[in-house]
Amino acid sequence: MRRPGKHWWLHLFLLMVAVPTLMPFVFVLNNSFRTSSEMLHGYFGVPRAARAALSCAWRALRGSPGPSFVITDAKQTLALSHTHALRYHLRLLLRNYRDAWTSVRPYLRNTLWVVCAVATGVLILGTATAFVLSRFPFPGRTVVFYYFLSTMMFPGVLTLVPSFLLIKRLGLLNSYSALIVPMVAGGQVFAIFVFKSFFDGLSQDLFDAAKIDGAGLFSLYWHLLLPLSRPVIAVVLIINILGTWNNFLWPFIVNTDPRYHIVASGLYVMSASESASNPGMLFAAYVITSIPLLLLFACATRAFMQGMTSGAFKA
Amino acid sequence: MTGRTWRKVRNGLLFTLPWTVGLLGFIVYPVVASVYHSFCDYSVLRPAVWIGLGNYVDLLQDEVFWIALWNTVVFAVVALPLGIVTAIGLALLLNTKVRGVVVYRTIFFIPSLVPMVTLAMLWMWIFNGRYGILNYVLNGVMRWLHLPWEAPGWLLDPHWAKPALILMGLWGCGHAVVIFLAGLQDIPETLYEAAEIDGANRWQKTWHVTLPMLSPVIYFNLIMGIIGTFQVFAVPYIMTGGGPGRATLFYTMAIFQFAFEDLRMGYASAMAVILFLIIVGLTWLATRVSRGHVHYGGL
Repeated sequence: MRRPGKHWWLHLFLLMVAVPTLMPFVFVLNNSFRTSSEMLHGYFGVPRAARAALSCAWRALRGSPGPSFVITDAKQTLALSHTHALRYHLRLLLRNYRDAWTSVRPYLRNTLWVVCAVATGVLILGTATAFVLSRFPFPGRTVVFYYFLSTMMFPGVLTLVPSFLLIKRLGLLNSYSALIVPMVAGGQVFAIFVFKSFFDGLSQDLFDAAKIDGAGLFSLYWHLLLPLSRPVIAVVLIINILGTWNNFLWPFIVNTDPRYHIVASGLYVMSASESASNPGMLFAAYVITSIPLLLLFACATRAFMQGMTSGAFKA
Repeated sequence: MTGRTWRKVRNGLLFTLPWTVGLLGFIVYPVVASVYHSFCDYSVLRPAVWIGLGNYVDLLQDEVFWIALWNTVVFAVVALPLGIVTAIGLALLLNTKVRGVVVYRTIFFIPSLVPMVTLAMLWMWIFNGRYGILNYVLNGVMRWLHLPWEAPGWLLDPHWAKPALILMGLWGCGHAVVIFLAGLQDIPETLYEAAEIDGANRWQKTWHVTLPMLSPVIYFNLIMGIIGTFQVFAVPYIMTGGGPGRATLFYTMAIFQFAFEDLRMGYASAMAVILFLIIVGLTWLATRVSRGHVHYGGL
């Protein structure tokens, strides 16, 4: 029987690790609500706008008499009703987020577009290729398979310079294609192996039964294979999204035009130019750009964990 | 019959064609070109000129190359084992059927969910010598204990820049914790039962059952870690740009500088080829050493 509180020392130790792990995020979140002048006085405590908003809300709820006084950026003092003052302070509180959103929205849009295009390409090509490699023996299949396998051993740095020159010669510098084409064409061999090992594990009886029922090649692929491999597709998707999201060097060298920046390269350029003048807005940008992956993780924790560990086992 | 075989081959090749061509274009060709360029003087602006082993000879006499190699090796030798040991320790703690494992696991995992660039920026704020929260806390503690020391300037201090990056890497080891935890949960319960019947205590069970059974995962992480360390770019590039001095100039950053700042593509290619040879050598070495130490029985 497990007694409650038996592991208190274990919890103490784990908390001692967990708190510093979360600390930086709390720091960023908290300071994303501060103005830059406020940050000169310190990074700790509740942001001023939040305090002011809370006090206005409290006074409005209690129905306190008298106006709330608001000091504007231009050092004017305004007397407003509590609810108006509350709205004013909330606007102030979210100002960093509004500013950050206008800057990172194009980056997010570009990232989303690239992620979708790469994922679609890899899923279609990857499943079809792995399907053929796994289920349709043909002379030379092993050769093709080992050819794919061998390309995995080259580190990305080795192909970096010629890939850049190739993209340049194709006239694809500063375009979405510069990010999408190499990823779909060569960057995702891993997906084939995850798919192939999963397809290898499926029972041949299923395919035979479907064939007896008159299913053609496309039917087998579309109505049998894809529905069965939903979990493994999710895993490959996650690996893909994480890869695109974290890829910094490649987008940084092929797309120097700000119009084609994805989140990683965009945030870097933004930080380099913005960090001195308005850190609060930068922090807000960090928070905004972290939300999509956190949401995805919350929705697909299982697939995420499998994606993380699939390289280490049996893959 | 031969017609059918031919059709099979044709269909098979047809279906695998997109990848065959894609890999040819974006892996095989670049690898071959890299090797070829490494024997050339090539600056993009002018056509490549064959100079034989010139780049390699120059590289071996180039201080920058050795500094970058040294920094990377130090990082691999210190940060990697430290991270793996910490991750295994945390995974072992989380594997004790303690309550709230899912919560802790999620917390440790969060750093892997935040874009790398964001993490780098975030840690620049933490490490900031004058305004950073790390030094705020450290100096506070020192004053409280009446110690005469002052916290270092971290990223601006040539002696402390590398430790700072190592510390940051340690903080983000939650990804490995998740991998090790999955490995631990794959170890069959029967092995522990058998060990208990033989009278093994907790320590003996960890040392003689858990770690050997986990060894393939540890081995895999080590190899991937070494390969990864040689390709570290984004975090040090953003945080220090290789400085102060060249204290945090890592291998891939040096390649980047040679290729895209100095436009010495041939020189950079030679360095990349050496990297490939190093990785192949290390992997071969690790495979040999691992024989007899890595147990694949459970997988």
